[in-house]
Amino acid sequence: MTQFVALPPGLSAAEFERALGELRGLLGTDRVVAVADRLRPYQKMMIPAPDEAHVPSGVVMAESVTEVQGILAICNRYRIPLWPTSTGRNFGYGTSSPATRGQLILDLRRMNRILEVDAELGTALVEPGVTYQQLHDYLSERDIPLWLDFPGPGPIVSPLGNTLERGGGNTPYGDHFAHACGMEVVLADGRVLRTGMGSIPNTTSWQVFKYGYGPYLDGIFTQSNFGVVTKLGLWLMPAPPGHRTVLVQFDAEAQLPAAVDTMRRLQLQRVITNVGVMATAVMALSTFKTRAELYDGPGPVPQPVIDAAARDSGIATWNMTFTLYGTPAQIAPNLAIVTEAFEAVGGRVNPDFHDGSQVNELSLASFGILNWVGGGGLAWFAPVSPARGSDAARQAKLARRILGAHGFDYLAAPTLNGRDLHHLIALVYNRNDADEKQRANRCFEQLVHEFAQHGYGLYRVGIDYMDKLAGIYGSVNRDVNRAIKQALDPNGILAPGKSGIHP
Amino acid sequence: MRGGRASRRWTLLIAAFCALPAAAQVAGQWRDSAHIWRAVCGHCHGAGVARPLFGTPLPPQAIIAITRNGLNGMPAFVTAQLSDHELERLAQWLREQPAGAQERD
Repeated sequence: MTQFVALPPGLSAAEFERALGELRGLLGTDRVVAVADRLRPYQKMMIPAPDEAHVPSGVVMAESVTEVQGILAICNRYRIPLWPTSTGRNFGYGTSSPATRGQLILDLRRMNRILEVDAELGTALVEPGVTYQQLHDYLSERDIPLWLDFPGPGPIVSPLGNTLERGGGNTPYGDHFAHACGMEVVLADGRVLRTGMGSIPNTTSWQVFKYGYGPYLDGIFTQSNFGVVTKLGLWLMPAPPGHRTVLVQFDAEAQLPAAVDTMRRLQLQRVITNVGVMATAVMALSTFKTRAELYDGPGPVPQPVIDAAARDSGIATWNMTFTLYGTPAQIAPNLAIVTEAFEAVGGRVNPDFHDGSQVNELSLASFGILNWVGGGGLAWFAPVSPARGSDAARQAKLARRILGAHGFDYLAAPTLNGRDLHHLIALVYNRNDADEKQRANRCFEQLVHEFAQHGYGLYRVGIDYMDKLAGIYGSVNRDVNRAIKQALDPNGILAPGKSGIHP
Repeated sequence: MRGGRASRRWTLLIAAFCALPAAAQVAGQWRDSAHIWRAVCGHCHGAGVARPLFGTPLPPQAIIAITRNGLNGMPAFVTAQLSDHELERLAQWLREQPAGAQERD
């Protein structure tokens, strides 16, 4: 009998062995994994969660919708919980690991076909395992003038996976779910739903019109466990004739409210059309320096040390970037408008900056933040804020105080998207140090708790905090989600605990 | 007529080609080690984010173990993405590259 690293809840080893036998019959032996050394790569996490609480019982790898249906049938029969992943990255939120121990990971990375790209309409249809790098290569090999919008780890992650988590990037298409159009979803009972116009036989419009007829369903398949999404339509941005990335720097913390208010006005007026980002000095420094190079004492790096290092590298207290796109004739007047607006509130404007994420250049430069302390620990704390200066300043003060109290630096890069601001904060820590890991966990807990007390919720959270965050969103919200869960997945086999939704 | 049939066959071939994964990037679909480097490793190890690996003195077994299981900030790469054989060839290829030629593009 195989020694399993974890068992699905309620199953004996013998029952699980029988289920794996059926899965091997469906997929072959290579695509069913339940031995410890082959499972280890699926267990590497960055978040400060206890590893043992998130150990998977195994992995199955599907290569087609038919195989997904077959896997679901077997898992329904044996009541095996199944944790679908696209490329299994989800860095800083749990990587591949399931929300609860013993789930069987459904690895969809081998479903990686780019099924369609329409160069005229700017649309694509992709499977879960397609990466941004793969799609980028596809477009450039064919000279298709369409751009991608991707998150920090773009080259090695999936547009489908990131969109289902409602992730974002930094071009005008930076709200990924807003630029998705049409899904194929395998429901727990094996039926296949195509959302929007996709339900019509021989549809001509699946990737161009989102809403179809009747309730708009796509949203319930994001950040949820109501189905397995096997295809996703994307809208891609036509490559602009030109672009100019602007850096605006603010030397004093007291300038943050004016910076945010000015950015909001310019975005709502559509002078600035992309998702802007503003990095703290430490965040900017962390991309090319380590903490140890600046300071070897305990606690957060003292502000005077940060200020001195930042000055030496041309970094300010807040460093905001955005891009103007279009022809030179379009960019010139917009540059004049933004320059005047930001200089009026004390910003220093540099109109010749470069940020690859805003101009279709894939990179993993954001991994540099993991070098700040070393040890591979990262938890993204991502509260939403109104894009109002007073809220942004309040959140910054709160975050700085809580992080500092636990000995961590304020590595923040809020993204600015018109009316809202995602206050992305990287809680980086040494995961090899058990005490520091515990400290990071306590810090995260306090951040979630205190931000909620001020009326701020997160847009996304790691697998260990899903129940707690769902609790903050209230009982009616949870009841509705549970009712949908019971209707669509009565055996509760799909990703129990995802977003705090349980059978 | 013959020309018609030939061109139809050609059209079908194009359709079949288009249905294949484009520049596919999972185990069994990589063109060679240079493709893996350009699409994955080079984004960190050839861009100053992580230690350079061209001409590395690290033994292949160490490269394989670290790639497979991850280490600190480096993610793990599962067999579904890189087969054992592809990983072994990659480790050897990295050792054979001239040190210093690190830039991705």
